[in-house]
Amino acid sequence: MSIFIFEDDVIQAQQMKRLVEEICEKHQIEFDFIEVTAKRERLIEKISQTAYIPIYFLDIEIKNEEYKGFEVAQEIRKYDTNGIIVFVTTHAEFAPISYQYMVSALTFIDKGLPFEERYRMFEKSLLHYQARNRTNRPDDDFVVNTQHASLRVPFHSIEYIETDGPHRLALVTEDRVIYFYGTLKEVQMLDGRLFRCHQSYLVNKEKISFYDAKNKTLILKNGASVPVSRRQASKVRQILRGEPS
Amino acid sequence: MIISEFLAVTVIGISHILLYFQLIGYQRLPYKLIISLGMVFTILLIVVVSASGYPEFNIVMLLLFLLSLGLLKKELAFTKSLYFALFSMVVITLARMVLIELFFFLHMLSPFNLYIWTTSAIHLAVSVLILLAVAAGKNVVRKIVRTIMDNRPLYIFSYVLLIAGLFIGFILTSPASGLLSAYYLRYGEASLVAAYILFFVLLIIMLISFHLTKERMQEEQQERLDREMLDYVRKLERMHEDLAAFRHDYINILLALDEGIRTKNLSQIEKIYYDVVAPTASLMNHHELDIMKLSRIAVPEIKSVLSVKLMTAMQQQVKVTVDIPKKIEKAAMPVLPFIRIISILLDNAVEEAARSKEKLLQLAFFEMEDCQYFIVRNSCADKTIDLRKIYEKNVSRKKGNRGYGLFSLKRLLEKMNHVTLETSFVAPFFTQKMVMKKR
Repeated sequence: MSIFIFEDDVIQAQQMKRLVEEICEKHQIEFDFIEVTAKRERLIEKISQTAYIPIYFLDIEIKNEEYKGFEVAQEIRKYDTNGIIVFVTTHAEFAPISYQYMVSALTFIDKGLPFEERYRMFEKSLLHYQARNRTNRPDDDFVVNTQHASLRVPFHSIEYIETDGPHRLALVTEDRVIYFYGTLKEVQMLDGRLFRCHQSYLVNKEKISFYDAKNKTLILKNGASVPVSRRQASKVRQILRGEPS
Repeated sequence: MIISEFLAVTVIGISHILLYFQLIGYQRLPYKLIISLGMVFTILLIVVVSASGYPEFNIVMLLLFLLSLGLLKKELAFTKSLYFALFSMVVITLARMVLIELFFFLHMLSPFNLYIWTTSAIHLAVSVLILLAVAAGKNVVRKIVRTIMDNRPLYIFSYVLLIAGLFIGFILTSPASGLLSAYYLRYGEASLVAAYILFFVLLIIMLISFHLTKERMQEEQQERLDREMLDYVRKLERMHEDLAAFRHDYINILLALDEGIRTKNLSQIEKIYYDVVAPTASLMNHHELDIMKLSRIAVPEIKSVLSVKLMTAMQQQVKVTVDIPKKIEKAAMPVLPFIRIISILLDNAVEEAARSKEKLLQLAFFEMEDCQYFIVRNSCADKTIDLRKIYEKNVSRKKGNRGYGLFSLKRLLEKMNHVTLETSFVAPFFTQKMVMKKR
């Protein structure tokens, strides 16, 4: 596992390095090297030497340097599609959102944050990095890619999917709703962990807390409720008993 | 032959139900349900009519059946429900009559012989034709209904016509009950003629209202564009005034500096610099100039809408960032709906950001692979937001009757198959991400 820090200010670079080392020690995150540099060529060269999935902390505003953080990120993506990219910047709130999407960056970290908060942000990124490397498999994402819609969310975040008008679906997670074109039938095929508990509902089996037989609804772990059609009631019980369906 | 007749009647029954559902704006019914409803209804009708021997039950039953279906939709007033039931019944019955006559007439002209089954075949053909017309005219029907509902005199006039149509329909079913059959014998011929006239009058009304709808929509569109243009010009004027004021100050500063330099009074120069010149640096905050990035959008309408909205935000002390990395030649959907959608998104975002503590608003518009992204993110005062609820009708934190924003946004998106809308809230940021697949 390898860690890259791309930063032109020597003092800040060293601070960042110390911070990363400290967090790695605390959580016993292993790494084979930490590369601190402000030179694009050096960073790109080193990518080939990495084992597993590397993490990159890139400063967006690099002075006197032709290649700034974003361009470097784009270049990294040419060689490494899985690596975790974190942008470090002075004004995270003004950071362009498009960057995040274009190089699928994990997050932005604001240099101006108070130390504890900054520490927490770095910690979060590094823990994510550790988890990714430990399982050593790509993220368990739920991907819809049809002629009309393309979307990607971590599967574990899905709560349920509901029809919402003709040929429109609403995918509901803890903190977002995604409205897109499609049918439940076609979405259901994408993942066996989705269960058709109702004519117009697909529920993530892993999110079910219990079945409220009186109201014929499934109560999810976060308290949301999803209706169950009469025909599926027995199957719901089966699933909750842990039997294969 | 009996089967064909039965099919024809069933198809007509289904058309009635379908049209009625379209009229009351109930679209989420699966086709299976409508078809089975139609079958059940037809069988019921046949049993009742043949058992009682009163053909006029036909109409009464149909009306009652449709009205009871209207109960599915709670907010529907009875008069409107009745109006729609009548509308569906009269229009389809009349259309069927006229079409059947027309087909027979055409058949007479054609060289084909008249067989026993010809009648059934024509009935079936006409029924299927009507069903197809109803299914195809979904959007048109909705528009027409909206216009009629908004236009009071037209509504009342058509109501009266429909009731007249109901009576004519009664008379024409060759009724068996005393009074009605007497009428049938007396006015049968006349009511047939009346039915034709009625059919054409209704047709004309429909055409007129269709035309009106179109005109009204165009007018609204034009009005909105005008208003936005005016707004834009006003903002430009204000910017210009600001600039003029700055120039005026600037000359004074230069004069003062000039004086200081001439007398080599360094402390005066210093004072002027720190008191007057240095503070202008904050005026030159580059985020204010972010708005210039809008020039990367090649569509003038979109550019003007965005700049108006963003300037409104700035006037309310909201910090705005614009992220448009590359030139955008055109929106990945027709311009008019796109403008309506982004207006709704930005109006909400500006208002919410202005109320919040952080007062931040970010806008991103870019293309990636085969998709175009339009993202609006704003800080929020609320701690929690029910992401489903904000899309319901009349739900809004805004005062007055502007609660249609997100509701109509969703209605607009229903027609755009290639658009995905992702709404998320991670305190304190509320994000709307619209992804449009390019075709």
